[in-house]
Amino acid sequence: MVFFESPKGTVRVELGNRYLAALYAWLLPGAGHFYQGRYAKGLLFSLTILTVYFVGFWLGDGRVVYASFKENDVRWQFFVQCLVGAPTFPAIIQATTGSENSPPLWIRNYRYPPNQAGRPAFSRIDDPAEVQRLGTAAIPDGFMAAPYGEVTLSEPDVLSAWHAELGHLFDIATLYTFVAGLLNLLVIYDALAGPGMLFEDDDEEQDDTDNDKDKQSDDAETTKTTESKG
Amino acid sequence: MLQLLTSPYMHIVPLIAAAAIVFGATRDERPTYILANIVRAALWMTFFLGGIMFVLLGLGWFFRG
Repeated sequence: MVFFESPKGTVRVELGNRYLAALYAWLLPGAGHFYQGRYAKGLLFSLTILTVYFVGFWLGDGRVVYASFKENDVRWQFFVQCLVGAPTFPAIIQATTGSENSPPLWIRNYRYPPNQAGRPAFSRIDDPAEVQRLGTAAIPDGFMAAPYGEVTLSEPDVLSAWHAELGHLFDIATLYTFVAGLLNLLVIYDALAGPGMLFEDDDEEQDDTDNDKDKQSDDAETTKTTESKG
Repeated sequence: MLQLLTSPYMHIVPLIAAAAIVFGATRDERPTYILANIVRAALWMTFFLGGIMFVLLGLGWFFRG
């Protein structure tokens, strides 16, 4: 149990096992607060953060949350995105299973390889018969997986195809999922240590009270001095 | 007006709302204080980001003109 005191009253917060609550808060936004019995805040955090995360996920067509440490594609944003917890776990699984050149664990669609007559390089294949015809030459697009193959800065590749398809939404979707992770960091801290109380108005009132007290004591001293002189 | 509503800048509005809600709610436990903090945070972020946008627009106008 933690108490937060201010001139406007005392707030009592039951934190329970705060470290466990912080772990739950990371695993699923708001879960730590549910564990602590702070249901309203838990629901508010859960709805807000998961909405921002999944709207970003939807805007980015499910491609903006992935873990990659390949040359020319170090996805540093993932370190913040993964603060949302369980919804980002598929990306960790995709990044840690298989070797660099093996296809992703969960494949959502395929793309044309370069040098296919009449087909733009790395364009999406919608016909399953085409995938069968191409066989292993078809490039797999994994669910929450890093872009398959090498990422170059001068030649077309899977990542450049994603950018071409999504346009500015790739960056906006990355921003949404990134902000969701940052916001969950605040929520994790709230579950761990309770609310960071702001008492700006209270401080001002307290300052006023202190000033009045100082003034009164000064007046009293002045009176005493005046009395002793007299 | 319609152009503004469909511009990419509008994507910032839900982000400001979400950030204000989460920030405001992590500052207190009492609903009235949480609400006050949410409003304060939303206004602060809106004016801060709006200020930056106007500065950048001004600089763009200055260097283009």
